[in-house]
Amino acid sequence: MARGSASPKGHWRTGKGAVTAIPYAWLILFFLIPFVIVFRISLSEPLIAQPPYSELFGPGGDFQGSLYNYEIVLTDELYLVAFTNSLEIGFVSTLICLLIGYPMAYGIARASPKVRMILLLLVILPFWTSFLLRVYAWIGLLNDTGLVNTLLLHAGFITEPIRMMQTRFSVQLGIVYSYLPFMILPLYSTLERQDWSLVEAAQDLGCSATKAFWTITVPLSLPGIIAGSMLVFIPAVGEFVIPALLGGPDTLMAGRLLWDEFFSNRDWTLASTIAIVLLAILVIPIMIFQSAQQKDASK
Amino acid sequence: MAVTEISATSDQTWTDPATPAFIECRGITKNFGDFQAVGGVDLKIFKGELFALLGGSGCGKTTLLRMMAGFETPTTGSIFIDGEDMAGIPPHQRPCNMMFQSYALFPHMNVEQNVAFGLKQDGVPKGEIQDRVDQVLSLVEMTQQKKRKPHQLSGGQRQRVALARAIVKRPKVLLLDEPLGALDKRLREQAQFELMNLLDETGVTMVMVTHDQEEAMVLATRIAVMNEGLIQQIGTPLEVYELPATRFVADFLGNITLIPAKVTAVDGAMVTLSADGWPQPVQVEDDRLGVSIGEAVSIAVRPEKIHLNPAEADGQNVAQGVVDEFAYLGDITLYRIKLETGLIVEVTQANTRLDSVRRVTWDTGVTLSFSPQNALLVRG
Repeated sequence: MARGSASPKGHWRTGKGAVTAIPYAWLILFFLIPFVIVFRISLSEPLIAQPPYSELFGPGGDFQGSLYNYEIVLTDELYLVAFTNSLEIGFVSTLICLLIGYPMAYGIARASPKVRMILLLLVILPFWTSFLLRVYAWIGLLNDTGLVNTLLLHAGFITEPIRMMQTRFSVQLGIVYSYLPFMILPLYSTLERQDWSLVEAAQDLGCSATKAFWTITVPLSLPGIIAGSMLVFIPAVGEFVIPALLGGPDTLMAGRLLWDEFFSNRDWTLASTIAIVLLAILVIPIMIFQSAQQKDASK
Repeated sequence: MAVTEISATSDQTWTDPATPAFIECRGITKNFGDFQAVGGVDLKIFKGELFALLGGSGCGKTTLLRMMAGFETPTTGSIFIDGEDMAGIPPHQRPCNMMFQSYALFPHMNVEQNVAFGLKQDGVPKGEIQDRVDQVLSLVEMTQQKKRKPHQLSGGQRQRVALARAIVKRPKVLLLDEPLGALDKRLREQAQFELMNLLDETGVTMVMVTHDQEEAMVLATRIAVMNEGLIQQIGTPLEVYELPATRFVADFLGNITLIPAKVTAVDGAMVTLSADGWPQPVQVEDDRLGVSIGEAVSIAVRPEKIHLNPAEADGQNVAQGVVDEFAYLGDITLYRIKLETGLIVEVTQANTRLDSVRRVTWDTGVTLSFSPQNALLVRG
């Protein structure tokens, strides 16, 4: 890149410019422009019209947008509860995914190459079926008259069905089930690349196997832990389908609320505001984290 | 360099049968599934030795070393270190430290933390850790780089850190897996001598695995030459080079010409043979094998022990040939001489005089001769 920028003409002739332009064009077209549109709508007032929001600039060119929607979203309890729920469920799901995913990824990475391919295939296999269908299948399992309750009733372990559907448990379960592969795959790729002789060296220097795991394997797999956690946490917080299908009134999440505002209330401005706030909640901590890491690396 | 009692030649502990072995392998075998990596090894290594396990890849040398370190469990047999049976003792409780072939430096720790790691595990007091780390880092001359991370070091520096980390705990046994393998040739020579100095200063018993015969010859007090999971010969560098016990050892260490032959007469140590491709009967003075008349053996002659165009061919083991190929290596020249019968004999000549260099070239007719004392018999 350094050479390319020194002679912009050569940069374009060799095609390097074109190659780097593709991702930028993609990001501008499908992220930046939609983001600007959504942000613009969030500053307007809802109207019963087409489009259903007010103009940002009056006839005289004066700015008539306001942060009114943000005031509602950030003060109204309904929205606050939804955001807290989303973050809580996202955090707990990420933690559970990590606790289940790490041993699985470790096991796969340590398996013989032949077994490893089979295990990896099994992790990816659920993607062959529709996501919606798989979430739907959980209803059949968790219902009061579902498979689990029926079996437990017949076996005599319980006398009346356990309420599992439309609880936080079912939402959490659905999210963990759906996003587990996104935790396992990045963890697997860092663990698989890890030099096993480092663990042996730690043991040789006096670490028990357990201690070597905590002092060598875990710190060195931190990039995988971070990548996996982000891949689970970010979509889980904004998740709509799973709380809609498996959740109930007490598991109101931001994604569900956004959908309601947009489609039921036809309030595009409030829906856009929720989207922007959600984005800020997710992106700002990541940006802080990244800049902290860069400072650490340059030190 | 302080020459102490552990230098290569001054203390030949292994010659005294009363000396107790410091490391002892008894009937060690190791199978990986159907594959037998080590097939019955008995070995005694004495205190203060630098013992080399030498062999090609897949000969079982690394597996044997890893069994000493505790990373592999022998299928049968037992290993004793300082009189203690190592069976069931995990790596972190063994009195040995290993220097890994890849060095295995912890990438998330700097040089100092890497070296201190082992002491920290043992709960050594902080002040003492600092002292010992500083001491060992100055020994390997890495004090200035102690805050660097492994990826900021050169190959030679990494090797020195790995060594420092392995010796800082003052283990009874230091295990070295291809210690100089990852270094380029020039660095390797320097590192070899550094390693020997260190040996003298610390006096730790070392077991080294290598495929590089030069490395083994320079460093080791004794060498075990391994092939296909078995030890072919154990001896000093001099013994394994000059008196190879088997055809494999003769062939593995250095250049050698092996001529298949049949014994025609035995007179004390003097054996007369008819060799395939050598015009006259060959006389070899070697009674190690106890050969009998009619037996098929191989005559083994090192290239530097054959005279090229001797001033007076006194009639012993003489043959005529022409130079088929030669390689000028600076200090010596290696010739491949083709006899009339088609037999190729390797001969080296030291280029001690400028005017003699290059006088012998392609297709030059030459006379070869070697004395009976300078040839050997090997079976196989």
